[in-house]
Amino acid sequence: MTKFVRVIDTVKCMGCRACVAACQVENFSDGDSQWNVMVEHEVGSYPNTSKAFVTMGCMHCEDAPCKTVCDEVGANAISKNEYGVVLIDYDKCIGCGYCAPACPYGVPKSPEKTNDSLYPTEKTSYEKIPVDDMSPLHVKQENKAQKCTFCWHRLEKAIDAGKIDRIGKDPEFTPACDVVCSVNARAFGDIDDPNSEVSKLIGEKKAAQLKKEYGTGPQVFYVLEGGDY
Amino acid sequence: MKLSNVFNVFLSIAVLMTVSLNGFAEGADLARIAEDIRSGEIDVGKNYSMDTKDGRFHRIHADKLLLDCEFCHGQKFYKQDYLSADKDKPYPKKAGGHLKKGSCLSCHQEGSIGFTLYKGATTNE
Repeated sequence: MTKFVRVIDTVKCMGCRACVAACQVENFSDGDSQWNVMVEHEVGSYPNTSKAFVTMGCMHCEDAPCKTVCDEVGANAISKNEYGVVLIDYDKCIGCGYCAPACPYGVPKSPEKTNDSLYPTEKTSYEKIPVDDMSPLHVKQENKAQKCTFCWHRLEKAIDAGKIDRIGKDPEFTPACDVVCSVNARAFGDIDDPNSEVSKLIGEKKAAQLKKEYGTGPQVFYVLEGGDY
Repeated sequence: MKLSNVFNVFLSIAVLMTVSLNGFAEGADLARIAEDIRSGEIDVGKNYSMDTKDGRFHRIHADKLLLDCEFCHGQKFYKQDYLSADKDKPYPKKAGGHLKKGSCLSCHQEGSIGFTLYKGATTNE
């Protein structure tokens, strides 16, 4: 089996937000509907203070409460595929918004307006792609839930080309946010492969899942100052 | 009885006591109302939305269970190190503040009064 996870090293992260920008451009997400956000806060007390940076996107939980509640209302718009990626079908979404409060991480967004363009004066090269050629995950709908897809359009490309082993290694087959990190604070790959970078990081650096008390089994792991908690 | 189940019973009692002490629905009533909603005895409509007037979500939690706004929207601001992707998202003016996710966990984890939304680390083998 192949199960994709992400590891984010908060000790290395310097808060440059390149991952946030890469996600915005790649997935046309900004304003009310950012798929990847940077949460920052001060730690310590004066004069021994520092800043901690945590980037947060969808955790692609094993037992995703967003999917549970979506199934409960009968929409069945949220699915978790065989690779562990949680995706939203915009056509099935009824826009009830229940997934937002159900998510312990505050991830799903249902913006009233989908974005016309990231920049006011010109379109990015991604925005120039004709709608028919876009991934269905990028053809968003107003008032419908949306969130990070682990850049499924890139992973899908690798799977279709029989290059699943290149995911997390080749930029074109790796989520955009993980590719651009300048301090190698992000890794993406198969947790079921004991030799993958993510497996090693989780094992050696004791990367932890956030808000474990919810028991959702998030598939994004964080290397924290002081190790697992 | 498993230790995790004992924990959940205590958690449920604590939630019920908190609610009753705050002057909302009586503790035992809360569990009964929740059961009646699930069984369909109490009609909460089919409007699956967050609308505060006739949306099912607020009809269940505010109108029927009589949870005060502050039970879920108790904080004006998150603590500095609170980790949530929508931490900086502005909330509607009528909402008392940001959403306290812990309130959802207390009633919606396995063995508590709401339908199971979170399995809860405490219930894992």
